[in-house]
Amino acid sequence: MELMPFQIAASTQIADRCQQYLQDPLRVRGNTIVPFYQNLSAITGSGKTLILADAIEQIRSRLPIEPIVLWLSKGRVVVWQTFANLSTGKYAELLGGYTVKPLLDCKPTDVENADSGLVLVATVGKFNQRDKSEGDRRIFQVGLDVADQSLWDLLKSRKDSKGRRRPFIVVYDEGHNLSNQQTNLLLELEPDALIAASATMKIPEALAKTIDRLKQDLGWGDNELVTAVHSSDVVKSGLVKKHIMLGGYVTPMEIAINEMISEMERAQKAAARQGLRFSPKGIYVSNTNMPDGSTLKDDLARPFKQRMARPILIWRHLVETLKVAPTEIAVYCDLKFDPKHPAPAAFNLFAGGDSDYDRFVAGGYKHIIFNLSLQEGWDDSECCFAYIDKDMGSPDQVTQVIGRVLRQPGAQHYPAPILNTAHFYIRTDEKDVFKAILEDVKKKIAADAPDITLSIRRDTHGTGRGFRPPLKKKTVATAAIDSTDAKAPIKEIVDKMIDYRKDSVNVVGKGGRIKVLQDIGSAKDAKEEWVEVEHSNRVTARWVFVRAIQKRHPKAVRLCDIEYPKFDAMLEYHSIAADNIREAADKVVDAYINHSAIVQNVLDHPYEIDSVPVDETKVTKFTNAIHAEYSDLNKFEREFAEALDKTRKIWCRNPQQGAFGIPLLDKGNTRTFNPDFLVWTRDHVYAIDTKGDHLIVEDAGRKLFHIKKIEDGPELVIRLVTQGKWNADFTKTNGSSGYTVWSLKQGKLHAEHCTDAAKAANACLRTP
Amino acid sequence: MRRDELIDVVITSHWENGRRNTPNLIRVDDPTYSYLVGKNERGEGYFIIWPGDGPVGQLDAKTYKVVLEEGKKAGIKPPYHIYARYEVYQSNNVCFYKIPDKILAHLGLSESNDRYNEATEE
Repeated sequence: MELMPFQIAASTQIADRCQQYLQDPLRVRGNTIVPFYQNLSAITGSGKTLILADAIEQIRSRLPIEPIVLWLSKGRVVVWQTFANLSTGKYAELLGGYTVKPLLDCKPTDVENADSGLVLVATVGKFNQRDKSEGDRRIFQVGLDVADQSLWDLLKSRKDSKGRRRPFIVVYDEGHNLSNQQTNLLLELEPDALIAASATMKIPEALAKTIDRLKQDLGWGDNELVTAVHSSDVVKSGLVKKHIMLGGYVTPMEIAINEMISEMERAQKAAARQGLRFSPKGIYVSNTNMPDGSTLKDDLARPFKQRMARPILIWRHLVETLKVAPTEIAVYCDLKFDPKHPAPAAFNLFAGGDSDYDRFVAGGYKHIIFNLSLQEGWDDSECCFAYIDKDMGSPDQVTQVIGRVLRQPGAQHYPAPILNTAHFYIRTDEKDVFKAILEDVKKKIAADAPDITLSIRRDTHGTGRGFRPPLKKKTVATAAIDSTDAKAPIKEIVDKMIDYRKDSVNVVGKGGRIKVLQDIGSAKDAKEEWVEVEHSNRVTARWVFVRAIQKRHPKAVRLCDIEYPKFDAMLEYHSIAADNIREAADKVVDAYINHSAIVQNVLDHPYEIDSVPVDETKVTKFTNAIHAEYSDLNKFEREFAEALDKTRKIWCRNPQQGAFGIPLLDKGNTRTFNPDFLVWTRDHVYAIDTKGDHLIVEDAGRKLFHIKKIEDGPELVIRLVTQGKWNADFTKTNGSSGYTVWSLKQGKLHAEHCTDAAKAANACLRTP
Repeated sequence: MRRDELIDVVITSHWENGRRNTPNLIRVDDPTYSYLVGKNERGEGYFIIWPGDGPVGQLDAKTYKVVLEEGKKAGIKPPYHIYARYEVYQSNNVCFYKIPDKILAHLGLSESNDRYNEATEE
């Protein structure tokens, strides 16, 4: 799997910090050190597992001895999935330096043999016993066929065949679920590093001592303890959805579900129109055995059709009224049936048995009725719709469900906003409950992912639509990057890179010594002592090179001959050779940026304007726009949009983090430019972006460029607009009014002042 | 590796990120296509830019035009999955796989720890 720059930035920061700490760690007593601690804070869908996997591979490359990693996940179900992904699946490529095993399969020879790193995958469920001897014995003692030393002790001493203690790293996905007992058990293993991943910075009490030491003795604060992934990077990358749409229903369940199903059909059609074969799925969250509005349990002795349990009623409404095929519906909760009145044969019930999860996943169900507590850890990127039943709609539960539907199918945004949206249908008793939920969701989104837009369905009685369809069919040429001219300079840089395969000097690390505990003396009176080790585990030149490029502009790798034998050289992370390779990688990225060009191609599936999401409480109507109304305009944008409307040209608002994007070739963080407006004339399509004063200096350089046409068709042209009177040297006349239109004239920046919005709109549309 | 061997590797070892239980690709064996070699169950096309007997080609404006034409003829919509030596033309409608690196990864070699070439080779 290819890492995105923000993911590499996070994993590198974790590895750098870990290495730096381990060079001079805090001590507890004797040979015990205070473990390095880091919390990876990232929203659902940002690729936490990927970042963690890359972090441990990078840490490995900086350690003197091959480490042992205990990789913990929460659920028993998820742990097998994690194991499959790390050992042979999608993350295996990232963990090339490790052997991956289930914890139970760890044998003394695996620990003694330090030829490669060792990842042991386990679930914390199995550690959660106060008394180790009475717990699940398989975990705390190795099996009969292995040596009689317990696995626990094995991991605690973790000596390789040379008597060196191997570094031990505990990685915990969903770190906020660690209990105190679990934490204490982990700390008993004397780990060298603890790396947790969670969106919340909730720390188990047992860890407080460790963190306090880091805070007090090293002066660490949240900045040092947490590696945070910016949610804006995650949203822009397409890994998560862009919009959340909430609707509150003070109506019977049937009405809310009817509306959800009809919106799902629209989403399915949109997916089919785009040629996407995934079909959006819906989840239904409800109580299990309680009837609506009652605290009494549903009567199991009644026949199926008389049962009042919510999952049954939802299932019957889907099947009997909405004619959904029962084969498409799964009910995943602990629903009880009396043997005399079993469920119909077509009722797919998963009541939580061990093999249920695999069966459930294999079933590919489109409608999933479940009870949150049963399936934590399950999420499916094709889930775009969620119905939340009354009594489940506490703010807390709603925010939990959001995590479940946030992942974006196919990890990319589509032109149709309906496919980039998480849709919620929340049934409540009172409007106030919905308001409270809304406030909470708003707060959570603002804190965790401010780049995800939130909109509300106003009319929730059957006619409400959160989207405005396009009223006219319009397209824009796709913009792409052409690196034809970058190939030769990149080849020159790569060809000049030194072959370190036979070098024994420059591939050796410098500085960054890490001490390891080693048995000194003969077996009888061996004594543990700290020994300084200068070298770190070796990695290929290729890995260093690719990593360095991916951190800046991943696509530049695709122009390099990284299969050359010289990239097979094995070297240490802190060697001169590695430095030289990283320097060459930087040059490659510079050459890529400097010599590539943005081009437009009408044959490359032009982008067709699709529907836009609107917040129905704040819409402005327009006459000549492709959509009837827009809602997300600020004052400046609205003035300009009204002026555009009066030019009588066909135009549209390109939604924020928009649907249509132009790739950017620069060192900035954003890789795509989403202009605010698109306007069509006979021979041109104008991409117009309104700019705040503080952005124009940077953006005039980054976003105003000529886009070379490579096929016949209307030409895409970029214009920027600022408020007030500006000169091309970026000086603004104090107190000036009107607008300035920025364009390129004969390759030079040109600033034209217009006294009002109408003139500015016309100036934007002047034929270049 | 010969072209047909490479097609075999791509068809049998390709798996998609995040999609479990996905069957292998369906081979497209139609000599009228220069680059199209397979489809997945979602109807997305797989292309290898390897014209005739020469070396593996690159994805540039010229070869991409052929991909677009073949995609249109075969009724395939983006994203196009394209295997080639270099991705000179970079469109968001393309999922790119670099030859030979991606092929070696399909075959189980790791970027961080494995040599891609025989040790004796210079």
